[in-house]
Amino acid sequence: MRIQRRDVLSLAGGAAAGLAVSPLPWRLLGDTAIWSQNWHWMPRVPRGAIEEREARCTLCPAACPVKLRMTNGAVHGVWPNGAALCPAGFAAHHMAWHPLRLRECRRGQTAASVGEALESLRAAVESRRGAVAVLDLAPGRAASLLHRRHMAAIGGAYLTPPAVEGGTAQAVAALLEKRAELAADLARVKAVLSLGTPLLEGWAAPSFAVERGFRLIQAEPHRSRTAGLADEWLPVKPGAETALLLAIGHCWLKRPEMEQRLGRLQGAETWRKAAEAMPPARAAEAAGIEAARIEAAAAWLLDNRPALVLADGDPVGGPLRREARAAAAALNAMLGAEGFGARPALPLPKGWTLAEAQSIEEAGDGSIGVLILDEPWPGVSVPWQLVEKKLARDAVVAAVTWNRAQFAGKAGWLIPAPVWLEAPLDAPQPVDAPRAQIAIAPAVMPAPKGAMAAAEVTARLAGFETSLADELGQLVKAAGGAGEKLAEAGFHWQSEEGKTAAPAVARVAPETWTGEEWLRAAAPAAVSPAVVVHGWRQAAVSPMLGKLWQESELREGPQQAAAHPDLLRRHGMEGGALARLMSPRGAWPVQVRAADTRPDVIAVCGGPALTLSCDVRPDGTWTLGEAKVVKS
Amino acid sequence: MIRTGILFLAGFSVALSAGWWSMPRLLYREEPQPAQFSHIAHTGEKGGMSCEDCHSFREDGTFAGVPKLEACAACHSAPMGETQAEKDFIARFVEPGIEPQWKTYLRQPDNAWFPHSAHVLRGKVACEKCHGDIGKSDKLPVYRVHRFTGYPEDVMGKRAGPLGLKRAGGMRMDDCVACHRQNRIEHSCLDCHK
Repeated sequence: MRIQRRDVLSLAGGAAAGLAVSPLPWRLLGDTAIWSQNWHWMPRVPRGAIEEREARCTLCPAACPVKLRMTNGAVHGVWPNGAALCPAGFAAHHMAWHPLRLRECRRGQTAASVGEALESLRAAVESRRGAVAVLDLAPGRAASLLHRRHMAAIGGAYLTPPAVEGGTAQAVAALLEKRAELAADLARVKAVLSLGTPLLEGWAAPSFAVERGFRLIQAEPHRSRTAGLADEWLPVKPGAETALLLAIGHCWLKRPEMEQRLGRLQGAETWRKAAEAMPPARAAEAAGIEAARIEAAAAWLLDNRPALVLADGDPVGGPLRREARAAAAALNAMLGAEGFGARPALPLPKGWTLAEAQSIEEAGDGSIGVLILDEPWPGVSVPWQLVEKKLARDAVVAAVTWNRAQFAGKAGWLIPAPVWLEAPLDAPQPVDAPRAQIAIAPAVMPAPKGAMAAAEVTARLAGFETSLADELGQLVKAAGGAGEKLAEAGFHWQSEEGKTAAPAVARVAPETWTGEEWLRAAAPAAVSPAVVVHGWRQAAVSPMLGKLWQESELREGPQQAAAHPDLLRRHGMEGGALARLMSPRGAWPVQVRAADTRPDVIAVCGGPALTLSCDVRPDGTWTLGEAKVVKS
Repeated sequence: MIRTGILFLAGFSVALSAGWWSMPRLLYREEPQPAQFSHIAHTGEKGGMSCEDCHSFREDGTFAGVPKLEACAACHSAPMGETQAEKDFIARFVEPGIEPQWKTYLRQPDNAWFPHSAHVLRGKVACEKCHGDIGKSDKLPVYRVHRFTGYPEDVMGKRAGPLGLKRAGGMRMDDCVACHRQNRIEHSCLDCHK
């Protein structure tokens, strides 16, 4: 019998029909989906007894005490240990598995070894002595002191980004009789006026958000989470913060005690001139807030002292304009800087020499031949324009970073950095309390092969052969600790929080300032609708958390644009619609939603990528220039 | 035409029997347990033990799961009875101090968080609700593991069929959701997927 094509087709057709009415294809479909749970590269949770270890979350200055839930050396849970913990803290252990994690050293687009990177950097450092710098994107850590030590040995510069958190404290410190490092003292104050500072969503320790002893007025163009939790929200026009602050100063000048206090400060005439030229009615026009509310806020601050005025700005959107910070500092000076305290310096081991810390704005343009970027955790960024102009034409840039996105294409070398719990990494100094701290997390998980903390990279370039833990151990010993087993146990120390007197203020404004400069800066942006960028730095810690926020609307997630319903109607957009955020430096997809914002403002929640693309103003602050949101 | 029909029916029959009879058998492979074990010998009148005597909760509330060798050795350092199984167990595991690698029938996937304490201690769910009458069994059931997923048959559900597509038994997400829904304790995905 000859087999024909028809026979084969009949048999195959029958088999296909038979299989379709059997469980085989359907069961295989389901089972192969489940199979994907067991691919060999999926992280495994070890089985066994659960143990708990105490540690510190070092992803932000709050350095919250946490309990790690571990099984056979793998961390699978982070819980608060006697204090509040922010959502990023609960998911902080996810960072090790972040999809953007940099796991291998790269030279441009190609894989390389860390040894090659160090050799190349050593050669670059040798050939460009005097033009070496490290840019510390998380200054104020114990590791920052190590950078300064290494830069002193190389003869390099230690640079910090323009201060956002702590920017007002820096501005007030410039007005003191004696030089000192200041920090806000939230535990001391009864009233806070905050301008665009995300006070209750990452700026201050989570415990202040849970149980705060102060009353808060939040002034910013959109109703942020902090504004929602505040006692009052002042929807100020973007750029009119200086006008608002000058008007408050104007109201205070009517109080004899404030007038007397001002009379004792240098620069009083200049400040008085600026403040007198800005009565609440004029400020109301500029800031878009009723004059009565400005007058009430001014009186409220004086009647609820000790009070504090903060104008730090938003970590993603950038610091507020220089004049706004100076105006906030002037108001604090009139209050006797009662909301601030002097932070003691971290104790140093004998014989250590440190390079001076300077802001990157102070570095000469085109002066850096070798730049090491230290990006230890998500959310820290700086506009690339600010960095780029400081680089020499053939500068070598190495980013020691946890991720393969932010500085890819910008830095010649990408060196993988360990993340929280993979190395003894530490937290910066708190911005909400005038105390010094060393908070080092234990290294309980293995880091990717070749991962090096940036302080280890600068140590090798400076010829130090000690490990990160050993070098940190010397600092710990200087603070009175044993300095041993840091990697195993971590370490926490903080200076005593005495009820120190408020620092003595000598001036109300910087010497060189004229009243006209303030008044010029008091005019708000003429663009309508103005696009303001904001975001929560720790948002990038866990992608799962970001997704949860986006889907639950518990918090604005990245790439969401909030606008007043009237504004959306005028632009023919509906809540939930997809749109594009356009600027000369790039375009990003956003989802618009109706929210409680000023009707002339679109508030875009973004991440460090937006910061990186911002334009730098002459005063070192930044903005997403000529930005607009258009329908997709 | 008749020849075509016959061939069609032949293909149909072979595929149908492969799908309904062979596939479920091929999908799982049997793996032996390290030793035979009689639950009833321990929990029956003679043994007088309860589930919690061996499958205990630790002080921190976590479930200890299958008992370790030391728990067995506490009673069986020397034979207590006359059975060959007990003698073999002592010779192979207790005397040389080798931990038997028991295979567990209902181990949940790594991406699911299943705390026994929340179900047994707080929810007062009886062991039998999920584990059936295994506590009264004379020997361990055959351990079958799914060739693709690596999960035991007791988790994946019994072979499909014989009369329907719906799988029988199992402890998959649908089963968890159904019970949670029935007891009105649906909170969020994060309850189980941390």
